[in-house]
Amino acid sequence: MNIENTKAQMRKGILEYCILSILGNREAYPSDILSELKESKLLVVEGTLYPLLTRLKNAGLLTYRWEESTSGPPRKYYKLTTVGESFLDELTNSWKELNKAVLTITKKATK
Amino acid sequence: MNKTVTVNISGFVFYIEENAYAVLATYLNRIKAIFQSDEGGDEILNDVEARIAELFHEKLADKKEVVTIKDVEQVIQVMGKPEDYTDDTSFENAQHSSGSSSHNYTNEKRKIYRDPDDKVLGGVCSGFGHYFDIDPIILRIALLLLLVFGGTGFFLYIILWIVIPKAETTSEKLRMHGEKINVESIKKKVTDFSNSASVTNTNRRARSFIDRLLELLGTIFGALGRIILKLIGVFFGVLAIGLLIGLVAALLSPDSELNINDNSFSLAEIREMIFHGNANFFLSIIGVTLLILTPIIGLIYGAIRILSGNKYAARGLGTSLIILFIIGVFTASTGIIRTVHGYHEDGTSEEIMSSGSDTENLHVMLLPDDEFHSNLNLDGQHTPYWEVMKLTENQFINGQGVSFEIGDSKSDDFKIKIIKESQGGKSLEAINFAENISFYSELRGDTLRLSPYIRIPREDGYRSQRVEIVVYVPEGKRVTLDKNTSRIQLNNVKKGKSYIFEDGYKLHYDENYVPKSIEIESDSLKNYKL
Repeated sequence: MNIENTKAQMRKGILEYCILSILGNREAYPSDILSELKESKLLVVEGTLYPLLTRLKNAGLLTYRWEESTSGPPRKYYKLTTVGESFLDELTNSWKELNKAVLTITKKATK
Repeated sequence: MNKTVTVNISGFVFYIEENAYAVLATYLNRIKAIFQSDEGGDEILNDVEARIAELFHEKLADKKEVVTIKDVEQVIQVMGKPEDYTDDTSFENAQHSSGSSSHNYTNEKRKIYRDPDDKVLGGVCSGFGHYFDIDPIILRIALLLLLVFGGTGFFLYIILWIVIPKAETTSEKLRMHGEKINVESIKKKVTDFSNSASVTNTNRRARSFIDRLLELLGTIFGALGRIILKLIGVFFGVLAIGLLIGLVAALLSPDSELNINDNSFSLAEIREMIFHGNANFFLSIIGVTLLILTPIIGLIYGAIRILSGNKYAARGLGTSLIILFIIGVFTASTGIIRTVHGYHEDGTSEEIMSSGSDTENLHVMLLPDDEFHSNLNLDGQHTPYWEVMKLTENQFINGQGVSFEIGDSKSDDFKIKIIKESQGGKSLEAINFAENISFYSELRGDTLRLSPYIRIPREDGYRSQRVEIVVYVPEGKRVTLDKNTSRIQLNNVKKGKSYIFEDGYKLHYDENYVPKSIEIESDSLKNYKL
């Protein structure tokens, strides 16, 4: 069993939740999202983000508007739709439960 | 100095170095290949391009004007390798491929396709080759044999051609090779991807049948030419193999004059005795080897080239072979001419004995043979040379060196002339070689005894030294040849058949070469011309 593979699988599951969380607070364009994700080492390269954003947008969770940029092409600023907001709430709840469950189990195990 | 090209990324114009452009284009093509089946794939690509444009902009901010390969590499590092993009594309499929590596979409079973990239006719054989993991050349040869013996191969091929689809898209080609369809494998093939990706599956299937028929008719004529070429290739191959087998057989067969495995002389001995020097020998050997091997290698190369469809074309091999052949001609002829030159003068040394005039019947016989088997024929026609020649420490003994003739004497006694003869590079040398021959003969009473072989000093080498004994018979007298003389070469006494001289005298040896003693009356030779 490859440890990198397992790590990647774990990251993948929460990546979607994290992106929605970032966008829950504010509008952001991909590079902003990226810098936050990179900081917390959830993502290493930018390329991974674009397909994910497109997929979430196509699912109706996100929407975007164009904004002119001084340093290059216009940027897509993403924000949550109402569907996205409720989706995020639900995810937050289940994450809390999950987090609690994982903590209980791992604490027991390390005792 | 680097050439630059202009590119438009997301509506922005960049000057980019040509090599950097190549890297970037490949990169974007790979990403395109990954997402081309996704809905929203175009959008993802646009986003990626926009981001790249942005990154370039940042890099060019400090008065630089051209995007270099370093910039592109840095951008790729920021954006991630194409396979990193799939980290989450596969999470939709994660449930059913969770066990395997995250990069795999599917684990394809090998499928049969015709291979358009490696075809002689329609790529059927190479397709089967990929499917069964066999070199297609083997299948082609098998098919050709099927074609020649029975002719069923032709229809089989046509049917397979029509039935089996051609591998056109990258994924089909991968499936044909049984490779997994994932980013790494597509990446390898992606350069051809862009042309084929636009043709959708349904389109192709509908068109393909008529297309294939047309393609078949179109190629069939061109193919005839190619088949003839292939046949020539097969012919070359067979010829080369035949020549090689012949060569090996000639070297190994016991009947061969070249036989060097049996009791014959070693190459070193032949070199010493015949070539009179290493230089001549090596020139001849190298030359002859080149003359024999270069055409064979050439034929094999030609066959491989034709049969593989120029896949194994080695640049310059043909020219080198021709040059080697010419070198072979020169070295071989130099060596051989120099060797032959050592033989071109003739020298003799004579000695005459005569019997008393009271000898009526001269008896000729051979001395016991203590060098060779006494039942060996020494006449040079029925025995391989190495059985009648022998090399000792300082002598070369040649059983084939003695010949015997009968002549007409003008006086009333028998005259016996012993002529020692040799070749040499110069006349004096040849005479010297002739005098060096030692040959034993004795005339006692009315009996002439002769040695069946000659001895030559080893340092003289073989210069075609020989001894000829001529017995001149006076009128009215007779010569009797002992039956053991049949071992040596009897020049005007033919063996194995009746021989009639001009005046009707009959001379006969029976066919088994074991004659009783033969009597020859001098009368019979009266009109015989030597």
